Amino acid sequence: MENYIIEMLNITKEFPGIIANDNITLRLKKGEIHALLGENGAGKSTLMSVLFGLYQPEKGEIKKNGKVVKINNPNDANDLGIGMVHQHFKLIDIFTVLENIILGVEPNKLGFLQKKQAREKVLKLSKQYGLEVNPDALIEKISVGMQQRVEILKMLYRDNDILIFDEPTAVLTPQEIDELMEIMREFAREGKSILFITHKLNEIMAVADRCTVLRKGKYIGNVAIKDTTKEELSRMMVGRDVNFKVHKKTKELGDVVLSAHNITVSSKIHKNNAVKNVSFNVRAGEIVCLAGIDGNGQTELVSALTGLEKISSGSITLGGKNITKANIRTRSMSGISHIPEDRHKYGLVLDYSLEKNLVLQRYWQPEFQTFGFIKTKAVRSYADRLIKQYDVRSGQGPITPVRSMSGGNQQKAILAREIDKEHELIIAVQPTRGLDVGAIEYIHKQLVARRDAGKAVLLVSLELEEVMNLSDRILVMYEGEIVGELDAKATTVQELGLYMSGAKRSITKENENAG
Amino acid sequence: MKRFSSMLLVLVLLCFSVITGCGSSTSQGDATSKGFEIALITDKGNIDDKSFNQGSWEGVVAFAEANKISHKYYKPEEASDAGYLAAIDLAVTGGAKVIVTPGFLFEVPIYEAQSKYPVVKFILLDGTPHTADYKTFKTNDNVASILYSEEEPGYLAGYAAVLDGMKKLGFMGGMAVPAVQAFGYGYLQGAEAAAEKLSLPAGAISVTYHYTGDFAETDTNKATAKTMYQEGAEVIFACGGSVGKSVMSAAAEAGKKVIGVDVDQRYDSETVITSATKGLGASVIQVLESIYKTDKWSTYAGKSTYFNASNNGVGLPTTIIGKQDGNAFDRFKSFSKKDYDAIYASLADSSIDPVRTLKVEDTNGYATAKELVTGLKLSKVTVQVR
Amino acid sequence: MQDKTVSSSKAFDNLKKVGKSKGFSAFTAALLAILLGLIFGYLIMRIASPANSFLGFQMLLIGGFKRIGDVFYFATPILMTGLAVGFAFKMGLFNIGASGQYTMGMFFALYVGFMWKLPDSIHWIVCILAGMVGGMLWGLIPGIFKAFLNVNEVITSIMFNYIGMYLVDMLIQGNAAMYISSKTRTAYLPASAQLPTLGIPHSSVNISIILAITLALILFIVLNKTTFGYELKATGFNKFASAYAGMNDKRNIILTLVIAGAMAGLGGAFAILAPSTIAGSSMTYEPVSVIAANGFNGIAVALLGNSNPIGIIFSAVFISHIQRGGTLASLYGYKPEIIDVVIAVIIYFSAFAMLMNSTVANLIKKRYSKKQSAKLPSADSKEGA
Repeated sequence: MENYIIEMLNITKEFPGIIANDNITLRLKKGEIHALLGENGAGKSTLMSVLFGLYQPEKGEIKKNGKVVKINNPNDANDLGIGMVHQHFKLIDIFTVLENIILGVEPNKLGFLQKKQAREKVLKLSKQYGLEVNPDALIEKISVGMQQRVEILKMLYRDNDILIFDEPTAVLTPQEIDELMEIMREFAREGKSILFITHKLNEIMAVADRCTVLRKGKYIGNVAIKDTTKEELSRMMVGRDVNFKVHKKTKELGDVVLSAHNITVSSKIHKNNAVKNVSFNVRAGEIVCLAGIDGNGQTELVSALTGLEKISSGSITLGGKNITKANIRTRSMSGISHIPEDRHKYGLVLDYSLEKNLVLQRYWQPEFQTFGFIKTKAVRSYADRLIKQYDVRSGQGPITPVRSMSGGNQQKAILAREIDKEHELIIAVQPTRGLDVGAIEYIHKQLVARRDAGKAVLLVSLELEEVMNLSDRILVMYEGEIVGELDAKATTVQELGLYMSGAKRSITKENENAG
Repeated sequence: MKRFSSMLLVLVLLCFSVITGCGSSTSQGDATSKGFEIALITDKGNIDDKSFNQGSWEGVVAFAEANKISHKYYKPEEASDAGYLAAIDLAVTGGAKVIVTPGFLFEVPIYEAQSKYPVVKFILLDGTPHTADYKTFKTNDNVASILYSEEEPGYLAGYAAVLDGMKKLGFMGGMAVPAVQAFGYGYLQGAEAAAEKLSLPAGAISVTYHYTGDFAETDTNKATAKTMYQEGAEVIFACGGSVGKSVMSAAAEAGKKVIGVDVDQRYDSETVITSATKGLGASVIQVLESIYKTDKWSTYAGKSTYFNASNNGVGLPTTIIGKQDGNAFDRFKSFSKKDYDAIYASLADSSIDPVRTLKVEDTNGYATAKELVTGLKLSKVTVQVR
Repeated sequence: MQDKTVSSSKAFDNLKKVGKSKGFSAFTAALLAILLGLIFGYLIMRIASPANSFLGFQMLLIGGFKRIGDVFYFATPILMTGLAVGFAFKMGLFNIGASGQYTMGMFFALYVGFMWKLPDSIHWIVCILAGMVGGMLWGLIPGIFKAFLNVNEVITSIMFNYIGMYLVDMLIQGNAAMYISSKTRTAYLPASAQLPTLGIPHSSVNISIILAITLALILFIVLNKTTFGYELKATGFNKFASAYAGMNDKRNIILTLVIAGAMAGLGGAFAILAPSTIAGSSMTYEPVSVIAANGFNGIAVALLGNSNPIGIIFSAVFISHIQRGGTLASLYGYKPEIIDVVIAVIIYFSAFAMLMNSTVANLIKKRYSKKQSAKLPSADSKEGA
């Protein structure tokens, strides 16, 4: 008889039109890190919401230490020692770290807040697990990684010993991911049990003891990590073999498509320039990757290239045409396609239908309008074609509100729109962020296909694996400068890491030379 | 869901019963509500405007309650001639037999209504019915047009102020409309008479005379009043609707006095020593009595009647609301009810008859100091116009 | 027995289909909102005068049907200001300046009405157009401030409410041809400047309601069928995405506020140019330093109409209907002020509940899905597969 702390037995949860969880069983041992693996929409979040008391299952039961329990709401879950770090943090921006941690369980005496006592406990916990935070910092002022620590401390503060992490690494930098992994291992050593929801195989291989795999709402299997491989896991998750290695033909380089010369962009956050005197070229038929840790000026540089932000000095040439002062639409018409970093904020109008989003860059073209009136039929048939060609899946086809679509399909829609539009250069910023393996594979293939078709591709990515797999040439950004230009075939992840952390540089500062 | 849907059901049922119920009970509704026999239509202002609406409504209420007659006021949906007429329509639908309309804004609507509803009696205060183009003036037999001799309460106010020992007076009229002009002219003549009575030398009394050009409470008006007080004015006769509020707040700051207008404004501010009132309530009561009690409607019907001291239609307030034996002259230093009664008697028997209108050059109706002095035969009183 | 359950489940499916459509949910939400407002209105009447509350409330509900002409007449200006608020709101702009635009529109219409001698047949048309220009001007200025200086349109448009009102009062008082100082209001407009009446007896309802509804339909088409509407709504939904797609937000902001201003300005013109039921009379304006209430009522109209031009037509007519019924309800012994409170409660509760639209819709959906999945698991799973 195994010693299970939590058992979810034969859970079935239905939503109108879909069975999110179909007879799923998950058993969590005390002191283990248990991964829950599945593609987007496989039913992982639903299962965890059931455990957390947010949904009531139609069938099945939950046991703790062998006894059947009823979890009606998150408070019940909390009483059972279950805590959860949600994918989208549930923090109040204008409160301090401490206030957020004690929110809902404020220690009080006769209604007066006893902050001191709480502060001591928080400091003790943060020291014990190496979760350093400043208790008096405002949430809105601290980094995403810090915010996650606050979420973790919230669980610890409530003395939870069953910890659920819902896609915790999606928002973190490589270093922060490593730290998180270490913290999770520490928890496990302490005897806490961890449920780790993810679709990133590397992380599972690195940290988990066992793994339960879901696919399309169904239970696929449970494996011990030491007995399995990445390939097997991915097969279980996707239901077929997945290629991790992207196959690229060697390709003759064409003309210079994008030429950035001495670009400087001022920062909106701090006084220094976000991008300092950056120059580079992207040629037809190559994928150039801007690598670097998040926040080293990549976002600002892309904004400058696409016209979302003004540059303070320098020039940008596209296909020999100077577009330094051109507005966004002119640049778009001149051949820049842009897959933006934040697809919800920039890439899509979530409240518009799929078809309206698919013409977002082209609605004004004569193909789609006459005398200012939109040609509904033309839009519909265009959308139908893209949906078919790029396999964009949605509930109601072209009239589906984009908000209701899955992340992967939203990204496919953007990809379809940007690729189908006439372009010489694709700027793709973290195009696979938050997507499952199948979608990542698809998007990678499409980008390579663009390169092979003789287009220029500028890829901005934080994922080293993606950088190494896709690019022909790597430009590393550090503190607003390009500190290294590497040949993807000749370099290693380790070397790349050195450049990214600023420990190494092969391109000297031009202004220093000048001075 | 069950709870929710049942709640919804109850609401829907409620709604339906209300809507369907109406068909069967409209007639019943009309039958049960006997209607409101005396109606008042408010003009653009509210019922508590401390002016025409309120003053005349108080008269309606006093008379109707004493005689147990149903009464009600209506508020027009729109401040236009058509809107006022529609409110009269509504009042008639509501069973009105007598309709009181305070203010000249009703002149055109009453002209229409008097032939539209020949059996309904109209009491039009401060106006005479005429067509929109001012070409036809006609007061039918079912209309009593009530006008006020504003010069008389103005006279009383000026007289009281000077007899009380004040030497420097101020007058702040709104726009130079006939009523305001009459108040002002009377005020100057009253001051002259009191100075005469006190045997003061020529030029002993000085009056600053001013039209604000609006009827509003504005910072400009307050500043003007403040300046007048600073220049020595002991009291200002604030004669222009909400201008009074500006003057009162200036007076409160300067520690000076105000004379109110139209209705007794002593309740608005401690600074108000007295008010030159039109007996709105009293006149409404008198006309209503002629209809219901004395059967003398014919004395008012089909013509304009001036209310003045002779029929107790104007004056200074002599009672305090809520205090049976209160002294309404308590804010004067020496002027008393006795002094008031004496001068009032002279006005009532027409032994004193103040000038009501002057010939004025200015198109806006602003008289010059010279016009005032010569026209009103002032000698003890000097006038500065500003 | 068996048949019954089958048919009921079928009906349920149909209901579900209807329930899923977007228009339906907005419509039901509006109805629920109105219902809620009515309940609170009734409660107040009940408290004020229990004896007559039933008859009074009944009259409030149905009284408007007895005065259809007036319902449409009074609906016209708030329909226009509702469009002014709602249209801008579609772009994410809160045009609280409808009052100022309304007043300016009114002044421009008055000015042309008094000062320009034009042939009778076109005089009123020019007056309307002038009113539109006046409103546009007062929409343009906050638009320019917003677009080029990034000054919040709420602040500028509130200030322009006051600036407009005082300016108009000053201009009118200083113009002897327009203003009769002894009456403290404007003179009667010449008949040629007044709008053609629709000929319903005892009502001033005129051609402007037809124009207003037409304009609402045009705005609906602009919003839903044109590239401008596409850009405008996209900006309203997500201004970052609209910038990303290269839309000219400066131009769109100005254009939107100018159109919104035009609507409010027309509202003012329609109101002041209305014909009178009394020969030789007309609407008049009193420069008494009061901000036009119709501008603010437009906010409630727009909210209740969910900023949809078609919805705004219905909400304006509904609000006017309740107001007209309320006036009649005063015959049951209610003081006009009580009726005012009741109407205000109904309108603002409805509008407020409409704000909670999504919450209400979610609540229903949640309850609905729960019941459904509990009762019809098999039917559901089939559909899902």
